Order: sequence, then structure tokens, then C-alpha cells
Amino acid sequence: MSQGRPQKKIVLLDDSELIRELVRETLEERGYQVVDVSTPFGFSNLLRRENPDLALLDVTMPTLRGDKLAEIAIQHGISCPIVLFSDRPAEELAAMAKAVKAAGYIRKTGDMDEVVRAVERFLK
Amino acid sequence: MLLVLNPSHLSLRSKLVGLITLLISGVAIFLILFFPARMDAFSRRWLERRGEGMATVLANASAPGLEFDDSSNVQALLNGLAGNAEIRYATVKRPNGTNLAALHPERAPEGTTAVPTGVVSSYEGDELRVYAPVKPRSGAAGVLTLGFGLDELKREKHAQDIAVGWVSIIVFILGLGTSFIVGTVLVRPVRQMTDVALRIARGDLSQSELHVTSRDEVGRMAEAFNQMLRSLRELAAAAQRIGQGDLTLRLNMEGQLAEAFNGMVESQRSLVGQIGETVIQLGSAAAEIYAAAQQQEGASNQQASGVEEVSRTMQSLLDSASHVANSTKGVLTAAERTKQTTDATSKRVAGLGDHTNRIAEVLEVIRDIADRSDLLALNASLEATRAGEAGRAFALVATEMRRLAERVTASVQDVKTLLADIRAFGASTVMAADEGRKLADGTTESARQITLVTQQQRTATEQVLQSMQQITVILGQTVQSVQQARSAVQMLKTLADQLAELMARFRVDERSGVKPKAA
Repeated sequence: MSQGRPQKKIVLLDDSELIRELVRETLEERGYQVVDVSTPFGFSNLLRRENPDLALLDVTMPTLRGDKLAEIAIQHGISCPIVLFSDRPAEELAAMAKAVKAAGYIRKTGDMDEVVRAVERFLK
Repeated sequence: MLLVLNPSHLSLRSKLVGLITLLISGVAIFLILFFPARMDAFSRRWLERRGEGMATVLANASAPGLEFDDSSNVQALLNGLAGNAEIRYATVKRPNGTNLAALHPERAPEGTTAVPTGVVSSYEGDELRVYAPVKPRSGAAGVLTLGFGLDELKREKHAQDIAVGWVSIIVFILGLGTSFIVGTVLVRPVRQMTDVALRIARGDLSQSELHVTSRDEVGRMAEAFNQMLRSLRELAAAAQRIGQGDLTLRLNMEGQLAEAFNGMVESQRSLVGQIGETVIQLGSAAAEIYAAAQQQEGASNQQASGVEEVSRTMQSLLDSASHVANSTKGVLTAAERTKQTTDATSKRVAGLGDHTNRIAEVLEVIRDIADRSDLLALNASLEATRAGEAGRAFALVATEMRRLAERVTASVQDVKTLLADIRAFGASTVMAADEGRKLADGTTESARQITLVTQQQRTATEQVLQSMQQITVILGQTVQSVQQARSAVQMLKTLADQLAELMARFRVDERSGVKPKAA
């Protein structure tokens, strides 16, 4: 699909294997390169190493909340846009993203097309 | 001792002085050995020649005296020698061996002497003897003997020896001094360089450069030394800058040292870069773990309070179970008492039935009596009527008796009805009591079951409570562990930040140092 230009790389952090599979397959079908991880530890260093175009970050995780992790990553000089990716209410996500200076948020809905559109919007 | 003799341990000046001393000593020894010997030989030859000359002159002069045997003339000739201290004796012998004339003949050797063909000299002991033929124009030749003492010669030789000795000593001292001065002058720049080199070896590069005046080897050596000092200073300055964290510099020098230095700086730069990178990674990883520990701590605290709440609920459940058990015990007791009471009632009611039957029997008797009374009264009334007026009052009594009998019969009937009622009541009471007993039995059973269930519930609740207590302990430990982990990670984070600050002191490229992150 995107043979002409270099593949955009997206890092996905979610503790749910199901969500990772689903999002990865969906995004890979659209020609994105997806690196998915399940644990928050080493996330900043992963971003540093992979240098992706976008990072999707689940919020509700048992070991460490995504918004906190995003805050740490941004504080530690990660420059790639970090997007909160959660099924929490939109207002809460917006407030969270603003508080931790994340690029924004994408709501987890059943509609994967909407997720893809949101991703494309952030990549623009 | 060997150390002292080992020439490699001596200083350059000592070597020089030693060498020159050796040379001068050689010369002095040569002077002492060679010149006095030569001088002695020379003096002896000179003495011989003089003696021979004198002998020739005296022999010629004595010839006429011998010819004419004129001893006084010859004696006068010999006496002329008396002023000469060297001449110990002088004799002129006739051909027959007797003295013609003699000066100190007592010192002259005894015996005759062959006439020599020419002037001959020989050393005899400590004197020189010169023989000369005294040839008169006619006749046999006599012999002139001159004895020269060597004392003067020896004295001279001794004085000469002393002079040569003094000269040697002076030459030796002069040579020693000269060699010392020359050595000092030659060695001074070398020594200066040595001092400088020693200070450099001790790490002191602050001394001024050597003052180069000459263009000779020493001068060139000093110049080379200055160059080395400058290089070392450059190296030291570079090392100082590296010490201050500047890893951007590069030495513009050639050679192994500069290469090694540049290589070292290069590897340090790479190392510092890597460490910086690692520190950044460490910092963010520590921050992540710290945040996770914080979150875990919160979760553990929440869990602890949840467990506490459950424990409280369980405790109240336990209290309720106790309450239920107590209540059930009361119910059981009440039910058992009810059963007993009901049993007693049943028995009593059964006893009442017996009594009722007896009453019914009595009532039959009473009714029979009433019937008979009524019949008697009727008979009496009939008799009274027959008796007429006289029986009138009796008739009234009989009537009254009949009424009484009827009333008794009626009452008996009433009582019978009542008895039937009582019997019916008794039966229903017995039935009711039986049901009550059964009910009490059921209640007792239920109460027993409730007690059992309550007991089980109580045991289970107690176990749950115990488990909750254990969970509380474990959770407490977990919270403690998480707190410890959190403080450990906090320390790690602080250390990572401090390390990052330290790393910021290094400059690895022209623009900036290792980019630190102020977390």
C-alpha cells in the first residue's frame, strides 16, 4: 500500500493481548509497521530505540498507568507524539492527555476504522 | 666497595676528573721516574767528561814534571785542585807505581795501576775515578788518578728529585683543579637538564625552559629538551582540559604518545557517550519502576483497606452467628419445654376423658333416680288425687317433686351435653396437643439444624477471618516490600539524576556535552 514512501512506525503498548493483536493487524493492513509491547517497563527506552512516528499507550494497566508512563517518557525527552489509547470517557482522556502533555487520545471503540482515522490524523 | 669502583655508578665529572687524574698521575710518575734518571745519567756523563777533561789537562800539565821528576811542580798543580770540593783526591804516579805527587793520598786507593792507553773513567763505590796516562816526551808513562766524590751529584739529584716531586704535585693539583673546573663547566648544563628532567619525572612542568647559548651538542640537547618540555606542557594542558571534562580536543602532534593520547580521548569520548546514553535510559527506566512501585503501593493500600473491611464484615457475621446460635439455643429449650408441656396437657386431657366417662355414669344413675322420682311423684300425685282433699297438699308436693325430677332430668341432659362438649374439646385438645408436640419436635429439629449450620458457619467465618488476618499480614509485608522497593528505586533515580549531572560536565562534541535530563 505504501511502497512509494517509507513505512510509518507505530509503537503500541497495551496489557491486553487481544487489543494488541486487533490493533496490530488493523494497522498493518493499512501499511503501518507496528511494534507492540505488553509491559510498561522500558517503554521510554523502547521509544528511544525504535524512534517511531507515533506511540499508542493504554491507560488502565495493572503495573503502571499509561498516563503516568507518558508523563515519564515526555519528561525524559521523548519527542515522538504519544497518544493515550483507552475506553475511558472522552473528557477524562482529554484532561489526562493535557495534564501529562501527551499529543492527544484515541478512544477504544469497537469501530477500528475510527481508530485508523484517528491514527492518520495524528500522523499528519 | 664494589659499587664505588664500578665506573657506571660514578658521575660524569668524577669520571672526567678520574680520567684526567689518571693521565696526570701517569705524567707525574713518568716525570718522577724518567727525568731524575735521565738527569742522573746526564750529570754522571757531564761529571765524567769534566773529570776526563780535567784529567787530560792535568796529565798534559804533569808530563814535564814526571819527565823531570819534579814533584813540587806537579804537587803545586794538584794543590790547585784543593778548592774543588768534588775532587776527593788526586795522584800522579810514576811508572814504577810510586806517587810523584798526591792530593789527599790517604783517600786514594792502594796498589798500582796499569797505565791506560787513554783517559778512562770508572765508578768505584761512591766515587768516580778517572785515569789518564801521563806521557812524558821521553821515558815511561805514569798514571794520573783523579777521584771525584759523588756526594755533590747525589745532593743535586736529591734536590732535583724534590723539585720534580714538587712540580709533579703542582701539576697534579693543577690538573685536578682544571679537570674539576672543566668537568663542572661541561657537566653543568647536563646537570641542569638532569634537574629539569627529574622535576619533570616528578610531574613538575612549571620550570622555565633551559637557556640555550651554545650551538654545540649540549646546546642542541638543551633545545631538544625544551621541545620535549613544550610537548609535555601541551600534553599536560590537554590532560587538564580532559580533566575538566572537555573531550573534544585533539592533539596536533605526531608520534606514539600523541596517538595514544588521542586514542585515549577518543575512547573516553565514546565511553562517556555510551555512559550518558545509559544514564538517560537508566533514568527513565528508574522513573518507570518508581511510578509502578508507587501505583503498586496505592493498590496494596487499597487492598489492605478492602481486606480490613471484609474482616470487619466477617467479624460482624461471626457475631451474628453467635447471636443466632444463642437464639437457637433458646428456641430449642423453648421447643423442648413446649413439647413437655404439650405431653402433660395430653395426659391431663386424657385423664379428663376418664373423669367425663365417670361423670356420665353418675349422670345415668342420677337420671335413673330422677326418672324413678318422677314416676313415684306421678304415682304419689295419683294417690293424692284419690285421697281427695286430704291428699291435696300431698298432690302439691308430688307435683313439685315431679317438677324437680324433670328439672334434674333436664339438668342431667344439659350436663350430658356439656360432657359431650367436654369430650369433644378433650379430643380436639389432645389432637391439638399432639400437633403441638409434633410441631415442637419439628422446631427442635430445625433448631438443632440451625445450631449445626450456625456452628459450621461460625467455623467457616472464623477460618475466613483467620485467612483475612493472614492476608492482612501478607499485605502488610507486601506494602512494606513495595515501599522498600519504591525507596530503593527512588534512590536509584536520584543516583541516575546525579550521574546525569556528573556526565553533563563532559563535553563530547563541539556544541554541547552529554545531554543530561533534569528529571
